[in-house]
Amino acid sequence: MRIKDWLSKKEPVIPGPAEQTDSGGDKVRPAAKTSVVHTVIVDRPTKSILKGYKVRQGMWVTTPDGVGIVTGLVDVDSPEGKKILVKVMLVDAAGENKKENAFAPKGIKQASIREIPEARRPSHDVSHLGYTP
Amino acid sequence: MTAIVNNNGEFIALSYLVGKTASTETLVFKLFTNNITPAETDSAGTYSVASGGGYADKTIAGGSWTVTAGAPSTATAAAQTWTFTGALTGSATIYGYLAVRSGTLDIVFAENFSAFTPSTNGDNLTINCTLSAE
Repeated sequence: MRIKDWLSKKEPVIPGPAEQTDSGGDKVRPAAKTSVVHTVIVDRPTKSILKGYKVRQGMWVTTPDGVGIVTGLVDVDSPEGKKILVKVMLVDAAGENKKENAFAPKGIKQASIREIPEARRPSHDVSHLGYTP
Repeated sequence: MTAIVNNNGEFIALSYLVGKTASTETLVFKLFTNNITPAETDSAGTYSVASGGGYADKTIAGGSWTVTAGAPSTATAAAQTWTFTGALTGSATIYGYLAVRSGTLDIVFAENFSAFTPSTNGDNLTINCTLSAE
């Protein structure tokens, strides 16, 4: 299945007041918070441009700043012209989100299984995805 | 803010397509409370599913999807709204959702989004989900 591109639009969470009173001084129920999530596309991009960099969304990679998960690409201007960087969500030892950074493609490579945090390490065979022990 | 079809989801989709799998299963949407980015290697067990505060999983029946041919072709689910009665267990925060199959409970796709912490009766979260292929 070739899946083309993705876009995800989110609206901000609107917090309601902690407590309100009406004109008579009686407590009234605070307004509810509402969050709306629009998932336009659910996919793993397999565009040729991503294949050229040998990375894919959701892939575990190692970077100069640690281990993370590829989340997409970003265009940046540089003196040499447009450059494409790979966005990676760096994770902590528990595999939870730490910080998202962008890296030059040559600075990242696919992680090995032992480099994936233990809490997120797959128990099933993923050698077909290119992960080595 | 990414959504991916996990490797298992790709396997399921292809198996359905070529008739390798005899019967399909409806999808169940679950909200998760661990602050993670979905990875291709994840299983359903990777995610901590919300509990308490009036939370319940959402089963999306096949008839709730609108499938439209085009470029790209799309499958759009009816909007799914969770209305909470208060805070989740442990006052947990919701970081995203995952879709699993209703019978086998294996993962198909997942996405994280802006964190949302229910706290008050009536707090609600709506997901509008569209899948596409081209």
